[in-house]
Parts: sequence; structure tokens; C-alpha cells
Amino acid sequence: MVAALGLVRRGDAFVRRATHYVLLGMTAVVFGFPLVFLLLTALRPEGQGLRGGLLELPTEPAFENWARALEQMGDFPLLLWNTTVITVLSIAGQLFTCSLAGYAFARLRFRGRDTLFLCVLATMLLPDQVTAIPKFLLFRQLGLVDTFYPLVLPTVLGGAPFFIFLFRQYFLSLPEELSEAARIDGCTPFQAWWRIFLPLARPMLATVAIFTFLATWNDFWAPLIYILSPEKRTLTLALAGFNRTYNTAVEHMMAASSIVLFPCVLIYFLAQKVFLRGIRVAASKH
Amino acid sequence: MTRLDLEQIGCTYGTKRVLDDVTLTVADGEFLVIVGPSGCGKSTLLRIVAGLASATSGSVRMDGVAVDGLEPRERDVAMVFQNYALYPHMSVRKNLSFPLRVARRPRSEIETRVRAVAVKLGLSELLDRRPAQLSGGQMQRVALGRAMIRDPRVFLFDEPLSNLDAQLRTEMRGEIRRLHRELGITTLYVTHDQEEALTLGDRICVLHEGRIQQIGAPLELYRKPRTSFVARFIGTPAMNLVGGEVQGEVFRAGSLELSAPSLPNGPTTLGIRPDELVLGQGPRLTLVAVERLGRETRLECELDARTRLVVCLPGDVPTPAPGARNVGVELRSEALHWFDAAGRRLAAEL
Repeated sequence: MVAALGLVRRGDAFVRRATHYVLLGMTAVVFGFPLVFLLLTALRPEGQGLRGGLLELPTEPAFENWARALEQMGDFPLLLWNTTVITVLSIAGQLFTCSLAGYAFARLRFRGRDTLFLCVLATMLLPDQVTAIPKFLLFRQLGLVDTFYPLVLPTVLGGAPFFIFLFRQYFLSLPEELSEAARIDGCTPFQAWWRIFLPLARPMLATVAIFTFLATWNDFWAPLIYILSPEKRTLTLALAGFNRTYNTAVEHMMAASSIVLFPCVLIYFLAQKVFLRGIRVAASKH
Repeated sequence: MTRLDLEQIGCTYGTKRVLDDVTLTVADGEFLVIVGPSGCGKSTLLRIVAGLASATSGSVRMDGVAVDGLEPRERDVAMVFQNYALYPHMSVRKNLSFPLRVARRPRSEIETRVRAVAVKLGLSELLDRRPAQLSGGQMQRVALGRAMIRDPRVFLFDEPLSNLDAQLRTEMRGEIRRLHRELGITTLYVTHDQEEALTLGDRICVLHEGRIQQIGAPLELYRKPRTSFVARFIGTPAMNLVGGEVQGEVFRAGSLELSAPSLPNGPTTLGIRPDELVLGQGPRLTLVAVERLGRETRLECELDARTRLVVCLPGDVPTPAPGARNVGVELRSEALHWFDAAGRRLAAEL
């Protein structure tokens, strides 16, 4: 009887495990397919981009597509520099303002704090497209169109309520005594944030940095609206340049896309653990 | 050296009154322990003194100057927390030096002070470790060190030993007492452990439901509790309290009858410490249980269905077997405490 029960339990565990793997496998296929398609297409000879089956292996891989893609993108080092500058400034700004705001909502006591936090959260409901025109008019008024400011300032000024929420949750998960000890030891609220809370929020900083990196690096919408001069273009704008009415070289576009995508994939895999830890902490408290 | 005055401190959270008209003075260099059960308001009182919480009414004065509107950093107080509150990302050295670094003291002074405090607390070997690599006792030492490094006007302790095991607690108690003797800094210490209060305090303040029950020297509280609450709270095992009534100078509680000259008529509670009871001539009780602890023997006796008395006899002494009836217990009149219906000590002592 006991042995039979053991067998049934072992069988159950096997079924659970198998279901788990099948589901994960299917998800991996769904998410992996575009990446595989991109690489296979990038390897096809010129003019053969979308010919043949979607996942058909090219008989003669055309590695020269990457060289051609770089050539067609224009001044690649300049594009890379522009995108990097915007991304780095956005990350720095995002980390500074969101962690500071999150700290204030978590640890400072002031009248209307929770209402204000709800208002900040409510802005998450507004899609970018809704605020695009007022924002554009504002930046035009300020004479900042065709500069990097409209791409960086919204993040520096705390335009990411979700990250503020993440930081708030993280700071709430730290013991109250830490901020009290810091106050007793002579810290102002800003010093407590800078010296105690920020160093303790490393997992969250990493998470927000990665999120911001992915969002800014891949952003096409904002550069399309605000950047006009060719020398200020970003990588995503250059990618869009491959799209022509009559003769889009899909294989070159895919090769260029893989170059632009490479840092994102690399960083995601390198920082996967930190990224997930941050999300888990934010999800588990309050 | 600082004198600390709390004047009519009141604190209300919503409709709940946490502190009610608390007035006390801690003299220069005195070690005052605030003791009371959980939720009596003692930690709130400490936080008000520290500046971490605000009183609804009343005032905190240091050397006669009101500090109510001041931030903790402006009050120059140091606090040791129950959970140590060490900064987990800093080494012991950085934890100790943190208040001095915030105050922008010269590097040479910081080094000297850290070294001196580390020697005093036996932390010299641990200076490069992180809090996670320390034991509970070591963490508590670091917390003490961080508090004493900047020579504050007042030390505040919020149940600092309650997370330690019994042996370490006794050790740290001695350490805190020694440090206080050496530094002579005015100290306010909060605990729920009456034994800790009795061994540490120059004076003890017993707090119950936000009100001061009694302030006095440890033995004064033990020998002359002003209320039945203090009588029960101070001393282990707790004082025996027997509820009864006085009529015509005779106290009656069930089958117990005692002469109670000069006590007013009415409901009265008789209190007697377990170690003041001896076996001998007196009321006859039923022995319910015997606990042998080596240094003392505890007898639990039943007077009637609703009244039990604990008797503590020094050493390991022969006793009747549990279940024995007619065990005589002697109630010496000088050992009796009397409380009125409201729990206040009655002036007449027999």
C-alpha cells in the first residue's frame, strides 16, 4: 500500500515536472522564434531576405551582410555614441530621481504623502502617445527640439512612476530602525538616503538600470519625434533608414538589427539574476 | 553631564492614549530604567525623548532647555535599538565611525576614537567584518560602540538585550553597567524584563497603560510597591495577591482570616512575597506542586478553589509530597502588603 502510494506520488511529480518543461519550452519557442528568424534572415544572400521558408537555413551564409549593414547605416561610431550618451544619461537620471522619490514616499512623513503617491501611480495609466503632443509643444517652446534634452529630461525628472513604485517597495522592505538610527547618528533625510538606503538598494538600482537601458536603447518613438539632424540620429533611427518603399534589403536590415540588439541580449543575460532579485523583492513586500 | 526632565508627557494615536501625564526627572549621570509590560508606552516615551516621535502634550527638557522642536541630531542623544540597527553594508569600523563621519570630524580623531571604543568593547579584532558576520552579542557591542563614540549628552536604550540568550544577556548587562560607571552619561533604559531593571537601574520607573505607577530605587519598589500592579510586576516569582474584604479590622478571603487593625472596611487585597512565607504555624493549605530549582524550592499551595499561594524556600529542602493537606504557612505581619480596591497601597502596615 505504502509502496503503491509512493509510486503514485512519484508519477504525479513526473507529470508536474513534464508539464512544467513543456510549458517553458513552448514559451521559449514563442520568444526565441523572432531572434532565430532575424539571424537566419541576416545570413541570406542579397535579395533573398524573405524568399524560402521562414526558418530555412541559407545554403551559403552571407556573413558580408554585417559589413554592408554597417556601411549602409552611415557613421556607425557616431550613432553608437549618440545612443550611448542618451542611454547613460537616462539611466543616471532615472536612478537618481526615482530612488529619491521612492525613498521620500517610503520613509519621509509629510502631509498628503499617500495621495501624492497615488497621483504618481495614476500617471502610469497615460500612454506615451497621449502626452506626446503636449510634451512636444513644451520642448518646442523651450527651444529644445533637435537636441538630446527631450530624450533625457523626462527620465531625469522622474517620469517613470513604475520605478518610483519599485524603489518605494524596496525601501519599505528595509527595517524602520535603519532610518531612525541614521537620524540619531546625525543624518539629514538626504544623507540617510545617500549613505544608508541607496547603497542597500543595489539590486533595485541594477533592475531599474537594466529596464531603463532596454527602454532607452531600443526607443524609436522619442528620437523620431525630436531628432531632426542626421548627426544626432540614434541607432534605432538608422535602422528605420533601411525601410524603403521599393527595395528594402531585409537581410541587411536584419544584420543591422542584430548589431543593435546585441548589447541588450548580452546585458540581460549577464544581469539576469540581479534583475529577477530586484523584481522579487519589490513584489514580495507591501 | 545632562539632567533630563520629562514634564507631563502625553501621547495619543488616534483615539488610543499611549502616554498619560508622564512626569519624571533623570538626574545628571543617573541610570534610570523604565519598565513595564508590552504596550505600556515605554518605547514611545523613549522615542519622544530621542526626537523620533512627537508628544501630543508636555515637554522634554535637557538641562532646563526644551528640546521638543529639535531633530534627533540636534539633541545630541545616542540610542541603542532592540534590533541593533547596524548598517549592513558597512564594516564594524565604518559603523562605529559613522556618527563622527556625518559630523565631519577630522580623520585622525575618528581613527583614535574608533580604536579606543574598539578596545573598550573588545571589538579590535572585528573591525573589518560586516554585521552579518557577527554574533548577536558582538552586534550589540558594535551598537553600544556606535552610541558611545561621540560622547552624547544622553544614552537611550530600547530593550537592547531582548534578542540575546539568557547567558549573553547577563554578560551584556554587566558590560552596560560597567560602561555607565566609566562614562557617567545620563541614561534612560527601557525594558520589559523586571530582573534587568532591578540589576541595572539606579532608579526604576514602572509604567502601566501609559501612566507612571511608581518611581524609586530597585529595593524600594520591591519592598514597598505603591500599587498592586508594581507588587505583581516586580519580583520573581510574582507577589501573591489575595483578594478579600476587611470588616471590623479583620481581613477575610475564603477560609483565610487575618487580623487587620487600622485598615478601613471594604474590598482589600493582601500581598505577600513568596520568599517571605515559611512553613510553620498559620493557615492550613493543600500542597499542589513542588518545583526544585537547586538554589530554592517552590511550593504551589491552594488555600481554596480560587486562591493559590506560591512559597519560595531557600535551598533544596525536604517538603511534604504534592497532594498533602494541612500544610501550615506562616504569615508574618511585617511581610504583609495591603492594597485597596483600586490597587493603591494602604498606608497602614501591620
